[in-house]
Amino acid sequence: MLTLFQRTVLRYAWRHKVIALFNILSLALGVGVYLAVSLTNTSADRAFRAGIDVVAGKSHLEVRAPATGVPETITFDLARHPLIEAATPIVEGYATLPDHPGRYLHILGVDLFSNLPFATYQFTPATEGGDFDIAKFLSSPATISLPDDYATDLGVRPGDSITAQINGKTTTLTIGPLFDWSDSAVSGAAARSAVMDIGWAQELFGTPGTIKSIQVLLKDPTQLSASTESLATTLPSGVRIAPPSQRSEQVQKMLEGFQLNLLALSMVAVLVGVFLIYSTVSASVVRRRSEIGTLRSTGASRRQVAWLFLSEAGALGILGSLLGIPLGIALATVLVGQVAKTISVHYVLVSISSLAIPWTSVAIAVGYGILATFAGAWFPAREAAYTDPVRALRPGSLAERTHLRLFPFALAGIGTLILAVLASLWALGSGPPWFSFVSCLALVIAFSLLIPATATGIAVVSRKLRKFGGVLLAIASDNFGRSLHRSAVTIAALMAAVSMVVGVSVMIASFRDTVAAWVGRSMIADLYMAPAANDILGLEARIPKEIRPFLLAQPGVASVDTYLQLRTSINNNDYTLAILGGADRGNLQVLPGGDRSKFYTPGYALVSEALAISEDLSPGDTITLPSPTPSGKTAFTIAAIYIDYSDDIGRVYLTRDNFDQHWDEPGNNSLAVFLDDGSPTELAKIIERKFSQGGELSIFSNSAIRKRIFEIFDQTFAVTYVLRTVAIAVAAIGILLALTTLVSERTREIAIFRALGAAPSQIRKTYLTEAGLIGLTSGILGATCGLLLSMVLTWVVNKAFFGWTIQFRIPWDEVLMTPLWVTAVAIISGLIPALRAARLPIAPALRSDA
Amino acid sequence: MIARFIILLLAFATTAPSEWLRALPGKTYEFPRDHFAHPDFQSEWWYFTGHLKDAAENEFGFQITFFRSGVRDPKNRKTATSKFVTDAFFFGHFGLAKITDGSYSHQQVVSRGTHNQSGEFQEGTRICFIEDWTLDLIGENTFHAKAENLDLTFTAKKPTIFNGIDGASQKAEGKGNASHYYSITRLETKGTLDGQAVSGQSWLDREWGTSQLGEGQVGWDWFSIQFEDNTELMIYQIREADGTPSPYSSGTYTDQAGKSIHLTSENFTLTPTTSLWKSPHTKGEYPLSWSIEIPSLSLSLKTSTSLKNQEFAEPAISYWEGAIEVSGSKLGKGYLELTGYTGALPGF
Repeated sequence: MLTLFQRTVLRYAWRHKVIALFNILSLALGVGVYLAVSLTNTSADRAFRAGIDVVAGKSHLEVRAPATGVPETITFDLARHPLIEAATPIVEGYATLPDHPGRYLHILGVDLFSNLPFATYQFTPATEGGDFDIAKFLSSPATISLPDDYATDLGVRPGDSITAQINGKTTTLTIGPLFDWSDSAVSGAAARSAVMDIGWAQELFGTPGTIKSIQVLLKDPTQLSASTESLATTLPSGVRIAPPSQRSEQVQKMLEGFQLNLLALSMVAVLVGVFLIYSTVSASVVRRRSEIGTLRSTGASRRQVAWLFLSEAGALGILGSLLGIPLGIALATVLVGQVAKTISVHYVLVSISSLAIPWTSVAIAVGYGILATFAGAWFPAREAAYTDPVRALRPGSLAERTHLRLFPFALAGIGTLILAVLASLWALGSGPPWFSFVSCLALVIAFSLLIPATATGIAVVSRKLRKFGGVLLAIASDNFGRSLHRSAVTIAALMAAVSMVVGVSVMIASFRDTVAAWVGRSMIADLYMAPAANDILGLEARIPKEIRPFLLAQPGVASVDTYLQLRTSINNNDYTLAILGGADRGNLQVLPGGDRSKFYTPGYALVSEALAISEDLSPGDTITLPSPTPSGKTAFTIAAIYIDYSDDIGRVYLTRDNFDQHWDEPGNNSLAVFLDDGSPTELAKIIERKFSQGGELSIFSNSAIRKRIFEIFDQTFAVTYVLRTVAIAVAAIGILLALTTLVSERTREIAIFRALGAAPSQIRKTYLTEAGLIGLTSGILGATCGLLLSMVLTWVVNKAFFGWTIQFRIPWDEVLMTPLWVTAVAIISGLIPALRAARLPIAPALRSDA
Repeated sequence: MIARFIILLLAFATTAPSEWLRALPGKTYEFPRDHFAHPDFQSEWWYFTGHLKDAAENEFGFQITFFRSGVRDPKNRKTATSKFVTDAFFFGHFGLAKITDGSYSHQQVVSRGTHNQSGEFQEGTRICFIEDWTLDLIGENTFHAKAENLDLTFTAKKPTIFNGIDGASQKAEGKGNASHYYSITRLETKGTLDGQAVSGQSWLDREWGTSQLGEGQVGWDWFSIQFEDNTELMIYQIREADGTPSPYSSGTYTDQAGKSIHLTSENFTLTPTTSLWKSPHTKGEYPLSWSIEIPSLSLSLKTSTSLKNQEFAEPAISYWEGAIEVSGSKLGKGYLELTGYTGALPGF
């Protein structure tokens, strides 16, 4: 059997190395894209978890107060609690490094003494200046310890200084002793953390009295939940205690939709690969009909023949999948930066400094590749096995099986279409959100099933056009109509890729339009300003408090609105708390059914659509937020559901007045300036001179902030462009393969045409026309399927995963252009096989099988 | 003495801490003032060791020590808004040797000296506290120490003696590389250890100073011995990196009347007599048996311990501090402290 494999499969593959190569390549692309996305997602998760592990790697429990920070004195009461073995306070903050654009420091303020059992860092024993000096560590203001490798990376050594921006102000930090991570899980992924004394960290961040968290070791960690409950009762209001893993779970939940979307997109590439394998294997079955006949008549069983073709596909599949590994890793290194940026802007600050390559992800990707191969090879291999040896051995006996039964296919297609609608409805209703992807898949399958009917229709129409196109068009149309058993699958591949391109493009276009409308109505101030660090860190930094009074004192300034973003929770789920300071300007957009004006009266709040969906809230309902009041919580009535596209986590909005009644947090993340006189540019210059000489602030005019919003928007979807391009490339290879097959199938026919006097150029034109028809069919079906897909993406996926209502808009020009460019791509892909057909030597071809 | 080791480890890198006061000759001790804290010196400690018995004649050895380690020198204590910013941190060590049982245990508390979790006083009753550990002066030369498993009252039975010369105990070459160092060599002791009522005799060592050890000094071997004839001996040698004893090694002999005689390194030899004991915790190798020769006092002594594992082993610091028996020209009991034997420098 192995010799047989060598003789028939390897030799064949060698003779047709270009086809084999294309096959391997396309599968490698599919597997590579899938692997890249999966590695990127894993790396993002891991980087975030490592960020938690730096602080809480060894803790059983963590005390946090999301909105306000934990009062520091709680630490000491906790440390003496009989259930607790050890407790240590942690201050956390961020600094950006203007001399190293894009870099930042995640600074941990630690109490070296109580931190001893928790420490994930180990000061390097022999740094410059001798051994670790505890008195110096405790007594030096604005001095940070860095991980050895990050210090090298930044080009600093102990004793050097580095310029940093913290909360919109420039400071100089001194580099103290260096350290190594003692926990390998933390190292690498958490490279951007720095450590300093907790006291000086409070000074640096201006947060005396409060800490970010208390890390806790229990005496009996087996009693985790009982201890958590009992400790929770001892904590003041608004302060929560939970295992640190809960934080990474929450983040994972937040990122789930985003990551699943990427993964689903990448699966399209694999799906296209399945179609391709089908094309290739059927091509090889056609080419070797006589070989199959010989094998069968010399005693090879059907199973053996099937096995031969499956193993051929398997060999290509394994090679392609293996090649997909380096490809995927290479692609992932490109994607990872993009994805980290997107996640940092929209969800949580994460810096992926190294790519995680777990062997399970690699194995799964390769597994998918091989599975896809066998799925694609199954039907052609069966066809080979059931080839009648007698007929196969008689040359010229291969008749193209014209009659694909159109009706059952079309019926199945319509059935699947109904299924897609049902899946969408279920995902929107009580079903799991990922059912929206089932709906997408069903759509693609439904349209694949509709291909025979559509293609036959197109063939009939184009044949009728012979008046304009001449006999060549008629021949090409007939060929196209007759060879659907071969080309249908190619069309499906291209159609799937096209529909993905169209679907995602339309969804993004609609989304962009919606956001544009929203921005137009919401962003109405003349000037916006925030700490520049927010570009890197998300809304971590606060704007210096002296800026607002200064602004208000400037001539021409009518008012200055404020914005502050904190964390809060409802029913133990984490959400964003947004505090809006300023008068009612009528610019808040709400869904019908609410009363926006009530928002500005005491006791009322707005919630975003995402929050309304995940907590099942409507106007008039009450939400309870943890607050530093005696009762520990404050209830608000929902005035209306706010339309907001800034995040999918879910938000509660309070006016500054309502917030100040229950919280004590005067800081703000950004300011919006309204002028009734004077030029925003002039004011921006004044602010820059006074507060931002070192680039501490980002100041945006109204038009600049809109531009910035769309920069972020486009950056968010940049990854999808990569995935879409790959899918189209793979599909183009598919056309090449399919036409090559068709040319092989019709060798004899072509030779007869030639013998009858057809010129090579005519043959070439015929095949290019057929390629064009394939493209046209794929384009028309792909555009239609893509439109439906975009509806699912816009109305179902976005709603189910992110809770955004997007106004659907069809960019008709783009959609209508699709069949045209797809036809062009198809014709270009058809060039090589068409030339081959034109150059067929006539005499041997006449004697050949097909 | 141990605190010096900590200073060596932790503060060695500091270039001469210029603004701290230094222990200089000419010091006149004043009491009760000098029982209390001296925050303008970088380090200071209150060090009790002793031999106690319970009603069933079970023997115990113990050490309890309160250390202060200065962070910001007196000229550098600008107020900060953060309450976590500290001028000194504190740590307490408690070692308990149940000699009859043959067991040893130890506890450590460390605290950064803020939020009323630890601190020291310059007058009043309380001298020092570290979390729940407290040290009070409850009468003239009467002390009360309390820790989780210790509650003891110490009453001086002999006068305070002053080590070194002219109020300063020089530890290395150079002005101010010294400490102020006095001892109360016999304190009647009563109270509880690990819940057991105990009584016996203790020794108090009081020391404060700034930058005491010199470069190249790696550790020391220190003895405090109470002889059965109501005399006492404190003696130590500082080891240089090459293994030789420093010329600044010294000691003090106290006679029955409480009169003390200063011993210089030329007056004595300290020699390990048996093979080393290897710690299962730190792999450090300690010489636990010694001979002490002081020809000028006609003293020829052998020391040994019946409990080898009295190592105070903590992640940041490890040393051997334990009860010993003394024989030879006089019989007695004492405490031995061995530092710098664990090799690798521990670090946070």
